[in-house]
This record gives sequence, C-alpha cells and structure tokens, in this order.
Amino acid sequence: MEAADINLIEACKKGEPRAQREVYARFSPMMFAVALRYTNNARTDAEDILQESWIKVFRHIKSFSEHNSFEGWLRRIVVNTAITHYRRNQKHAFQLDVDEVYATPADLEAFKELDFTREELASAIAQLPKGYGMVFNMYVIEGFKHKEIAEQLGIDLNTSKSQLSRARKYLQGILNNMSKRATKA
Amino acid sequence: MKAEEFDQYVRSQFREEAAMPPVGVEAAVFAAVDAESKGRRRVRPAAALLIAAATGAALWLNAPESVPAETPQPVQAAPVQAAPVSAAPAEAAAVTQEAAELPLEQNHDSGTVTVPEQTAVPSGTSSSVAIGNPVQPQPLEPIGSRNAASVVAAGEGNAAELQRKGEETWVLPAVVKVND
Repeated sequence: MEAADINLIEACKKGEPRAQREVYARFSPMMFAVALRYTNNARTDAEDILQESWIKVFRHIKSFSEHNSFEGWLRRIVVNTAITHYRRNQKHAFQLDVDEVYATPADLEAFKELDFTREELASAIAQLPKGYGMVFNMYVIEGFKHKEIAEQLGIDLNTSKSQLSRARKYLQGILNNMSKRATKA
Repeated sequence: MKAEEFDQYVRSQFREEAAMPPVGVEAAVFAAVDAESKGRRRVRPAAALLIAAATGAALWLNAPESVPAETPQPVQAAPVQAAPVSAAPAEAAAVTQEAAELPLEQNHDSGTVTVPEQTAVPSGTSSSVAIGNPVQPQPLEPIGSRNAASVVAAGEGNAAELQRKGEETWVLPAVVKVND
C-alpha cells in the first residue's frame, strides 16, 4: 500500500470528513459493481447494500490493518453485507426449484473460445437463479472456498458444490444463447 | 473447455469492475455517519460524567471508614498505656520511647547510656496487644542508673571469654559441637 493511501486511511480513522469523502469517491464504483452482481442488477437493493457497507467501513475502519489490502477489505465488507441482505430477503422469498424451471444447456465443451464482454457476462450472471448466483459469485469471482460459502449462506457443503456446478451449466446455456443470437444478427 | 478455465476467464473479466452509484447514496451515507459520530460525541461526556459521579460517590461512602484505619494505632494507645503507669513520671515514658529510636551514642556526653527496656513490651508484640495485657507494666529504669562502662565491660567480658575458650573472637553467636 502506498504512503498516500496509508495517510488517507489514518485520516479516516481519526474521523476526518474530507478523507472519508475521498475514500468514498475512490472506492464506491468498485463496491457498487460488486453489490450489483450480488443483487442480480437490482439497483435499489445494490444501493442499500452500498450504503450499509460504507457505514460499516467507517464504523470499523480503526480495526483495519495497513498490512492488508484495503480494496480487499472493502470488497469483503460488501460481500458480507450482500449475503446478510440475501439471507434476510430469502426468508420472505418464494423458493423456486431451478432444476424444473430451466433445463441445463450444452456443457462447457461447446465453448472453444470465450469472447464476451464484462457487461455480457454480468448480464448472464444476473440471470442466474439467486442461490446459484450467490455461490457462483462467491466461488468464482471472490475466491471463497466451499466450506466458507456453506457457512456464510447456511447451506450444506455438498449443496454449495452442486449449486456451483449447476450455476456453471446454467451460465453456459445463457452465454450459448447470447452467442447464437449474435451470429444470427 | 474445463471448468477451471471458464472460472479463470470470468474472474479476469471482473478484475477491474466498476459502476457509478447514484449521488443520493453518498448523501445518505454521510448523513448516517454524521449522526453516528454526533451520537458518540454526546454519549462520551455523559459516560465521563457518570463515571466521575460514581467515583465521587464511592469515595464519599468509603471516606468515614477509611479515616480511622489511616490513624496510627500507637497514637490512640499512648494515653491508655500511660494511664496504668501512675507511679512513673510522664517524662520517663517519653524518654524511653526516644531512647528506643535513637542510637546509643546520643548520651555519650553525659557519660551515661540509655538502654531501652525490652522486657516491658516483648519484641514481636504490637502496641495493641500491650494495651490488652493485664500484667502491670514495670516501672521504668531512670536514665543514668546504668553507666556505659558496665555495658562495655559486659561486652568485652563476653569477647574475652570466647577468646579464652576458642582462642578466637566470635562475632556472631554460634554453637560448635566437636565429635571425637
């Protein structure tokens, strides 16, 4: 971490509003993108997660050690907040049996070369059923282990593994359809 | 394509992800942060005041109990101790106490030595024990009743006796048993 960043974080630890604003301006776009991914692009939910995350950041910034990555720390806070949000909403949500809703498409062998933009991928991930999306985001993008995912989401370890496998197939189906449409056009 | 390759590809695409949040979020975040810090600022003096009040109250409640405890016991004992010694003059008790505190050479000018009377209060007993003791205290020995010469002579005699027996000067008392 650079000296300027350390000074900025130190100023935030002292509660200096100018430093807080600067940190917010610098890291909010990254945090909002993460929040959007976890809410399947539902902007209102993502805004709530972002706001909640920043309050947690400024409340607990004194516990942050300069030896760690600040961006990684912020990302982890957003993910944890999104998980809390997801679990809170899950209590009231109607649970779909995704296996019956969507048939799994062709397997990964169909893709010889991947050529999708980030927006296309983000759009495809947002179409994943919520449970699949959570596991996929946590495992593939954030790098969580299945044990951590199971603990965080309150699911079985094998459920996490099977959901990831299904999420991959599901995503490939979406991407396959996207590329077919692009070819036709 | 293997699953790991697919994961790697997706991960690389999201390495620099960013999306601008609406302006309203910033205002909401800092309003909440300000409210929280203001709340903390209000709570801190109140907590300090509460702690100060509690400490003050505790000190005030403990104060009457602690005052007698701090008063040294001999001060109270002095008049009680003096009362039974009706036969001895008051200044004799004072002189004895002084003599116990002062070294022997204090009275060298007058040629007399005051030896503190150890038998009145045995060593290891506190003054409070002495107060409760029903045994009548012995009248104090007046200063000058024993001269320095006799004390020195007693010490020398002891050393001389030791030298005579063992042909050595024993500084510390010791018992030596010699087995044949």
